[in-house]
Amino acid sequence: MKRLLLLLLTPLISFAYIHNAEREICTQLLSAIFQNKKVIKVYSTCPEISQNNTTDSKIILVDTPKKADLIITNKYIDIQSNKPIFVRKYYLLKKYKKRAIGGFYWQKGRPNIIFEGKNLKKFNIILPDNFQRFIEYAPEE
Amino acid sequence: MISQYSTKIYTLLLIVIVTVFVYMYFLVADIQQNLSKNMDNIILNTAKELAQNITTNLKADLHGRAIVSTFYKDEAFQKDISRDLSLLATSSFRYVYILYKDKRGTYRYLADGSHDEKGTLGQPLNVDKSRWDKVYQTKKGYVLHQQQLQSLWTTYLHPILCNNKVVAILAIDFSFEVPQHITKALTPLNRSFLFIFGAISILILLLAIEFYTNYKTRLRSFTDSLTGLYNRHYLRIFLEKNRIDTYQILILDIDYFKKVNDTYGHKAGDLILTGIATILKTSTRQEDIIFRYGGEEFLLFIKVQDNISLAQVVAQRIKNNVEQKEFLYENQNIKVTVSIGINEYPKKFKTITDAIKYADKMLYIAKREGRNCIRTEQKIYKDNQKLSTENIKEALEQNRVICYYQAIFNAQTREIEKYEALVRIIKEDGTVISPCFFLEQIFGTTLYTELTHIVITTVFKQIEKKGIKININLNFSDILDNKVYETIITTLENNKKYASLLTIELLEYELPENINRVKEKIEHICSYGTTIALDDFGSGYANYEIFKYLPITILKIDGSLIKDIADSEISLKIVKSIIVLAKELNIEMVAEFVHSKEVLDVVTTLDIEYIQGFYLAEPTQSIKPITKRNNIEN
Repeated sequence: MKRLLLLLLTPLISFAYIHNAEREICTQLLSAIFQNKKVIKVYSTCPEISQNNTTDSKIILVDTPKKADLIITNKYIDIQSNKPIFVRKYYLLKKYKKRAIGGFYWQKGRPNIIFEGKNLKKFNIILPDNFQRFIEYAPEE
Repeated sequence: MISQYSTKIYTLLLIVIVTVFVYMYFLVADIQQNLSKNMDNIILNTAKELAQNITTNLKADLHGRAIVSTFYKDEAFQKDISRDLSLLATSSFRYVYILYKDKRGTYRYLADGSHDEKGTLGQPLNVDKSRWDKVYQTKKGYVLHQQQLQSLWTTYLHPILCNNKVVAILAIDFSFEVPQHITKALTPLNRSFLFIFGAISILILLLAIEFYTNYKTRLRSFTDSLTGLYNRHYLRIFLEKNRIDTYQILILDIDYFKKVNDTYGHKAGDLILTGIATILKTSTRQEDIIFRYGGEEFLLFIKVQDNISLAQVVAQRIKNNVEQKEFLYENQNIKVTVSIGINEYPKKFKTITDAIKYADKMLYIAKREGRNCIRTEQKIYKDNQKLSTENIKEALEQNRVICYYQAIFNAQTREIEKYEALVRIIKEDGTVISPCFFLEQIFGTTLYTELTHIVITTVFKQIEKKGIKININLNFSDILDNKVYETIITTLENNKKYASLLTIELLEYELPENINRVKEKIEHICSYGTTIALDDFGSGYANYEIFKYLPITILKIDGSLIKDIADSEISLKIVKSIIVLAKELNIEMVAEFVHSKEVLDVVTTLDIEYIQGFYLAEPTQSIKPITKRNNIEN
């Protein structure tokens, strides 16, 4: 009975849980990327990151990539800006190889965070110590 | 018998049914859990076997090459292995993939057979490193129950060994589909239980409603609809279930209730009954039980606590509260009073019926003594002379009933004119007992009728023998009592010749409600020549209206007025006014209770025809023939 109820409720709870967790993780990541910025201007194509649901007041969504400090995207689009990109799919790291500073995505039910060490350097971004373990360099065998 | 236990049987059956179903429910839940565990084991064993086979094949395909570099360098090999793995990815095994741990401790894909969220070669995967590392350390398979991952149930980690060293891990993620299948399979059973529990709940609800309805009906059958008090039906049950010696009994009657009904109507009567019921409730305690015993009669059981007798206190409180209460009906204030009879010692009676009867008798006394009062048996218990019904019965059977005769004198001539017969019982030890010690006990019984018959017969014998006028005492209720009345008529019929020498003194307490019936009977008695006197006039209810209805020829002025006539001016004035009335109505008078020379002197100055009292002559068993010598001086 309990299990049946749990199974019925799981999709709903999962959806809400994941959605909230994603937003929270994204907020934390932005704060880690721009540690010294009082206002972080973000251009986002992701529905989970919008003006209505950002929990951090220092994050401001802007309507063009040019005005943004960071571009967050979950799909491949032609971005006319040289601003750093943060992706929501792993394959986009490859697509924006030169400008993607990292990504946050779900893989096999697990949340994954990756930062591209080379691009972080390029944009002079220094992550706090607790994020150092997510920095990727060329895969080692 | 069956209906008596039906509720208990149904309740027991219901408990058994509910218990069985609850047990079955938990049994099924247990089965479900075991089934789930077994399925888990089956799938896990399958996964282990598959992982072992894959590892064996992989090793064979590697031909001794280093696994990680081979995957990176040989793209075709990597694709083949991924394709092989994809064959295992089913609805049960959601993800099947091989990860290796790089020098920095990051787990990365070597191959992925998953159909969705497929990882690419070298792509890192965020895993629970501490647990995955265990596989590297122990070189044994590890079952990881996922608790933090939402869509996964269990993960099986299988080490891929090379030279007894873990070089990679084959991971198989189980989806939720397996437990879902089990749950789905058991859903109909669970649903059945839901329906059964629902049905049982409805059944319990219906039973509760039924029980409540029965309770209400039962309560209604035990209570009086007007007053909300218990009725006689419940009295029987109450008496069966309670020890009566823990209670004292009060019987209460609303005085002149019939008059209220006749004057103001039955609605007003109902209002008063309800009001009295409220007073009774507020004047008693929770543990006291109140019944509406009759029309305007209430029976109260006052609980005795710590051997403290409360009956009189409660009775007095009720009486006072009723006296103070004004019942407002159609802008008219109606005031009533109550008479209360108390039985303080019910345990002294053989049966509860006797105890109630005794309280009823006390009530009768209270009513007869003027109403709006309380009477208790205490006085009677203190008085050892009171005869029991048995004693009186024996006295009647053994002819120990006699008459004493007190002379009544002519006030002017001071000669005996007639006698008043006064009934006495001779106890076995020879003691002479006055009527106040035995009449109350037998009032309304056949013994009373028998006693009346004996008195009248004895008096007629004396009349026949002595040729004198004799008075006897009767109540209005005696005239109304058909048996007593028949006895009177029969005796008069048998003694027609002397009937005119008999005078019946009616005790003047109150005007009977059915005065016309009394009138009819009195007139019939008078038709034999018997005369009617009104006794004790001037005290209690001095109702002048009585002269309108009854052929009263003699008026006996009450002793309480005569006894202090020498000292009390008001008594003298009252007596004088009675005399004026009597003269106006042409009725002769007798002054009773002449107990001293002073009283005699005053009485003889008044225009009263006859005098009677201990100063003149005490009651005696024998009658002296009336001669000129039988005067006061003698």
